[in-house]
Amino acid sequence: MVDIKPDEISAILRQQLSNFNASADLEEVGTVLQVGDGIARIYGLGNVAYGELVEFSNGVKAIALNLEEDNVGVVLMGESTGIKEGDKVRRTKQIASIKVGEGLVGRVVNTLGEAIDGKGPIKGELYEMPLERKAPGVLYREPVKEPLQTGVKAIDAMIPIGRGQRELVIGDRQTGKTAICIDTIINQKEFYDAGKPVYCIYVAVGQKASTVAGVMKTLQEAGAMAYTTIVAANASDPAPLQFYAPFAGAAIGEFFRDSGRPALIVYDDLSKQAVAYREVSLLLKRPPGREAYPGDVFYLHSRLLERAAKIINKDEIARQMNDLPESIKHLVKGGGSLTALPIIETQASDVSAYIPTNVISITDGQIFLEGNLFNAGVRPAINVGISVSRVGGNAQIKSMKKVSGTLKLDQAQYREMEAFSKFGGDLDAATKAVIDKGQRNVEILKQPQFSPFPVEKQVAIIYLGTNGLLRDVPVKQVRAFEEAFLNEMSVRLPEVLAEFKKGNLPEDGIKKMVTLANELKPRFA
Amino acid sequence: MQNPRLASRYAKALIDLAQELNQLEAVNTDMLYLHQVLKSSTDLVNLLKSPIIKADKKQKILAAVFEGRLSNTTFAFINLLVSKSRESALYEMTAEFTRQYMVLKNISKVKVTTAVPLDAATLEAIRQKVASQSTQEIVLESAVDPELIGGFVLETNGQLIDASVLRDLKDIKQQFSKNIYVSDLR
Repeated sequence: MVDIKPDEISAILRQQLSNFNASADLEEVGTVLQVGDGIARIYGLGNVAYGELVEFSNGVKAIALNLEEDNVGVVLMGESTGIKEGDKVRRTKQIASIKVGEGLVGRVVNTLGEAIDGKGPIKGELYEMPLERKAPGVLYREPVKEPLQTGVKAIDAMIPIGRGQRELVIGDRQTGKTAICIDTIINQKEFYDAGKPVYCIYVAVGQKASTVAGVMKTLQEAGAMAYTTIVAANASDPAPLQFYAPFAGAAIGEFFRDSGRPALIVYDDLSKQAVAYREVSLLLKRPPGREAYPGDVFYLHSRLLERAAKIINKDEIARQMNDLPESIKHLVKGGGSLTALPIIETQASDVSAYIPTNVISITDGQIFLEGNLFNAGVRPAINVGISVSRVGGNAQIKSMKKVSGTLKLDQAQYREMEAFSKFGGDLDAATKAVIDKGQRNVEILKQPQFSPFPVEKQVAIIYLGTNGLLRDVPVKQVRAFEEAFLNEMSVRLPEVLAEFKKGNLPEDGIKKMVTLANELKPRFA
Repeated sequence: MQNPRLASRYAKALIDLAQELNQLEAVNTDMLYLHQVLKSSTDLVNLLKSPIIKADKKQKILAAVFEGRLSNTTFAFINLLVSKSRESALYEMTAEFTRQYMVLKNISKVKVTTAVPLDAATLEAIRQKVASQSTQEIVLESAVDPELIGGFVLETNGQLIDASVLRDLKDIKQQFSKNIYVSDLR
């Protein structure tokens, strides 16, 4: 603990006291009828608005969610101990909101925007952003066309994600859902270093505090905390804090989006959020529906994910955007984006459960992760057959689009043939070629955790794969070859890689690259 | 309050009838009296709520308790409640009747709470001050709560002016507990 001198303490005390406003205002109050299970019923508060913050006499805040004829149901955003029947509750006349600013970058905050990483208060100017805000309308949007590089070869090549897209990551527990999203955040370091940061927000809902600490450490070690904010509502936090955490994250993302910058938000995970929402709804005595979720659980997710958007690149139009909070009106610029990567955890690969089907239908595509692929050593365990990106095609750089064009088809054919080959017997030459290529492509698409690949290197190795140039390399040697080849490329042919990155596929460059690959092959025979 | 609509419907019916019969004031006094009695006697409330005691027995008991102390209209009202098995909501109905009566007469009740008892002159001064801010007739109720330490709390219709020392101290305490630096010092 830092030593603080007595005179400093008295200075702080004086400052605190000078802020104190002793005059009394007219307040609207109600009284607590009952409290328990994280909700309270209030008598009075006749004029309270839906979603308004109310404050108990001990300082605990709550949100009014049920306005009934004779009482108001509120969900507590803090501990319910210390609240008694008959306590006074007063309106704050503000809807639930969070204070957002540049100072949030690199910090860990809770749903209310308070720092929980022990690094002191959030610095810099802060702007009030409402938790619940309507998504931008059609006029203020643009089609998704800029790529968001995830650094995961299988995704960038076959399921490309664009800035402003919503791409679901879905799979059983322990299949690497979080890992893919963390990799994506780490891969944005390239843009941070280039001075065009993609601001990342990682929202942890209902996770163990140790897991969140682990994620933070990973990001710190990769240098990714410099452009990342973590919003954490841990398993021990009250259910309302858990189901509002994604909304708090979205509010932070919107601050970057509306000030003309790209942002990426990971919701980890929305199934837990739905469970927290179900808990609150049942306690508020709203009627349960399928799987006991309330009727508006679809709207809960659709309104959240709809806030991911690519904003039109015209400042004067963007400035008229609907539902802009007063506080950031002067900062609004066009061209920003908010990309969302919601995560859904399935039980025993059941994607036809209620929440998975809902979120699949809301998002612009999904990345399926499978346990048996994971166990077979295909990591990331993406099932490319059923994973899709509905808008990402326009969001690939040209070189990648050309190179990976046939990859998805090749892999689909390979999987079909693979089933055949398992019966044994002789295969004709064409089938064998398909299988050989497929096996090597599968090897290419594997990559270790926390090591995203820059797009130009992805282009180089996938070119070799899709053009069958790896057929002389034994399957087991493919990854070793890949590593050596990419090292040689960055040392000997950096100018070719630079061209790939720009989106070009120069013929002479490709010739040089192929010669280099052929030189290396004998080493791995 | 299990069914808010129940109390308000019966209260409205009674108010309408009393107005028709020109007995509004008498019925209002009855209702205030009933409210007081029910508030001070939990036994009576339990009796009214008990599903085991038969209606005719309840009617007899109520007659024994209230015969001669209530106007005929009120007494008929109570008998009606018993015959409709709504006697359990009588307490809520008396409160609701008073509320509707005050709306009808444009009266608003203001409760002032202080740490020490106020003298009549101060109360009158407060009443006039409040009355000057409102178009309604003001009935001032006073209460004493030593925990306030000083200052006063004015309360009416779900609105509150809290100028007590207790509240100021609470606010200061909260301001300190919110401050990250200060909580680190402990």
